[in-house]
Amino acid sequence: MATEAKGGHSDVLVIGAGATGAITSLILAGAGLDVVCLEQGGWTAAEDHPHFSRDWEWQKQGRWNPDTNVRQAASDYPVETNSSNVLMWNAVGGSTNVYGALWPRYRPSDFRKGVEHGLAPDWPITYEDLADPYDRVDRLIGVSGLAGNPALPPHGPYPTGPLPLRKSGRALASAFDRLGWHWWTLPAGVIAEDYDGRPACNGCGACTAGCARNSMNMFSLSIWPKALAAGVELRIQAAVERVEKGQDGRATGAVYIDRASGRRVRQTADVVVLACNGVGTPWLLQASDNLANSSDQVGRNLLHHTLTSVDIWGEDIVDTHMGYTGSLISMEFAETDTSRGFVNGFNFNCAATGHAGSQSLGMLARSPAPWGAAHHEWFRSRFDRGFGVFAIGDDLPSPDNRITLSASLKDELGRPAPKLRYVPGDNDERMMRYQLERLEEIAKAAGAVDYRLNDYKDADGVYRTPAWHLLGTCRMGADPESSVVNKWHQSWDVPNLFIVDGSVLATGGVVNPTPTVTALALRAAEHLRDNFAELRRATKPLEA
Amino acid sequence: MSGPRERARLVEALVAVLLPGDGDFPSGAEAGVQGKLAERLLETSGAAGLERVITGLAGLAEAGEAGPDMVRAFERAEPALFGAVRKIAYLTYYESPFVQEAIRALGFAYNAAPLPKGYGVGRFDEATDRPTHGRGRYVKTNEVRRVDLSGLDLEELRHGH
Repeated sequence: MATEAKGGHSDVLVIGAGATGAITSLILAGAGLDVVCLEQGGWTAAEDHPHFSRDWEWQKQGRWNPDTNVRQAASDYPVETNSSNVLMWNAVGGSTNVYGALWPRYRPSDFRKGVEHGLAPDWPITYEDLADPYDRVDRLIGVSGLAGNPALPPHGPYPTGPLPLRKSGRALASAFDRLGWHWWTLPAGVIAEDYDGRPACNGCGACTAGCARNSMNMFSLSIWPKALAAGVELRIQAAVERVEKGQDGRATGAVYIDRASGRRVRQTADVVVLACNGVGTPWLLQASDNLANSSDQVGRNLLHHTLTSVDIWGEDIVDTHMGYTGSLISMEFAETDTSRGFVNGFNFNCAATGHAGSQSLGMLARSPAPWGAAHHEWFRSRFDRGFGVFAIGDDLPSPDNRITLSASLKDELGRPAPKLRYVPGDNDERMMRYQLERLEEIAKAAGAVDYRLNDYKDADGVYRTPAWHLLGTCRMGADPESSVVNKWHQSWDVPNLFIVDGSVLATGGVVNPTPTVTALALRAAEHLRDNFAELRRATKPLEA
Repeated sequence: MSGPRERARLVEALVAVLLPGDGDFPSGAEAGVQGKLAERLLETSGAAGLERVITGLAGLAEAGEAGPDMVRAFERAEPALFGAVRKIAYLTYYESPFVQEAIRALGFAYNAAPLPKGYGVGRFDEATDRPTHGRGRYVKTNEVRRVDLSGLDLEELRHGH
């Protein structure tokens, strides 16, 4: 590696250009601060997405696979893992390049699990602290939905009306009505009407590969152009080796490898913000001489959510291959009811997706069509007559589910790779068994001619979650002994170091987390902006 | 073992067994799946993977009606590799313009690629799609109460958490 070069000094150094790095950079640069953002990947242009190719479903198996260990792009780092598929995307816009943009909010009790049962901590903030950022991030992102869901606190209208329910959504809604269960239209980070210069969704049905139209909010196409216009200096292909700390205990900046030139560069800043996701942030902190870890909580309490699913086939055509991947959500089982045999809750999402190739491979349950003479008849009787339902639940944080540094695996730059360990606990297993029973009830209530459950266990019984969600590994809390950051995302140990990605979540909630992660990032960035003069000189957290 | 021509014929026979075609649907071989199957198997399973397929199915091109039994035996012997072959075969097959034409012949609107055209999925119908059931509840922040854990024999409670 070549010698070290000086990259300069900025007010703020943001590491990671995903959703939370984008929002943080936009807010701080918009206030006139000098912001440098480092991103180890590059740009993903609209035309790079596979939507325009007839082999798009094949591309999703390889270069568009969301699993970093499968994709192995030059900008990716490998993750040693005992079970999980590690779903992330290392580029400008981060994992939003390939996410589903489901946009439901957490509920008040999600922030109060310490009071409720004590097997998980309370957050140092409440739903009410986040209610306004939720509304404002919805407007920033462009969210479609229908206000008035009785399973959530009242809030304002969504920026655009809901996406169409479609035949699959109506079929599932009828099933929930028969069961007497709650359902509501699914809020989505996908616009149902033209909004903010972006075109409405045209129902192409390829949401699982991101959105080349930017109808689904792609942070690289929507937020980053605004951040750049606000003056952010975004340096791509910048793989950070370590965050550095001075004699006074404050972060001084970071050293990164410019992947294009191979040069090692030192960038200094008054304030450092980490936005590298629930794997990348604890990985970087541990690689930085175990920075900000006097609590020994960095990397611990990894949350993925519990996850099970069912594929349901009926007699009627429901146009599976068209439209947005989600249609409705049910929060019938979202609150704790210990008579079920476990604490915490879960929700259901309808997921109708996939063109002919994916449908022939069995959608969510991975139960492929038969080969041979029976194949074509199977196709005629099943194509576009199926939809999937996910059950997603609040897994309990465990200190043993964690990110550490691999002793043996390195990335192509020679950095020790992160090692991920995740095993669901007893409570999680009970919840997933209960979910499967309820999913079977849904299938029967939907009049399924066939259905396939998926517990995501392999032949050896190992839970191989396709979890997208990488949460909890630098959690926020009310005291420095049991948490990594305070309620303003400020490190207890390193007062000018902030963490704004999903690793700060104290619990996972029962829904997809990006709305909460981005609302938190907005709140944290505005606090940093409003208190910057003080925080840039801080020698201890200003407020617990 | 065999030369390139025989090996190509074997892969062609394999896709013909997997996807024999009927009605408007061409067979996998007629749709030309074999070329990409070999290419993509090399890409994902390497030369060794392709060789195991060719070795494990030696004689398939001449097997006639015994072909499906040979493939079934291979599926049992090499389930993971067979799964990879099937995945490639199905995805490649449904990329074919001729197969997509057969799908459209069934009456489905089906584009060659998702974009640029997309599909007309309509708009949210307030009259029929707005939920009217009135179901759903949540617990307010100041109403969250301690639940009774005494009936739960959870490992997390036994061993501390």
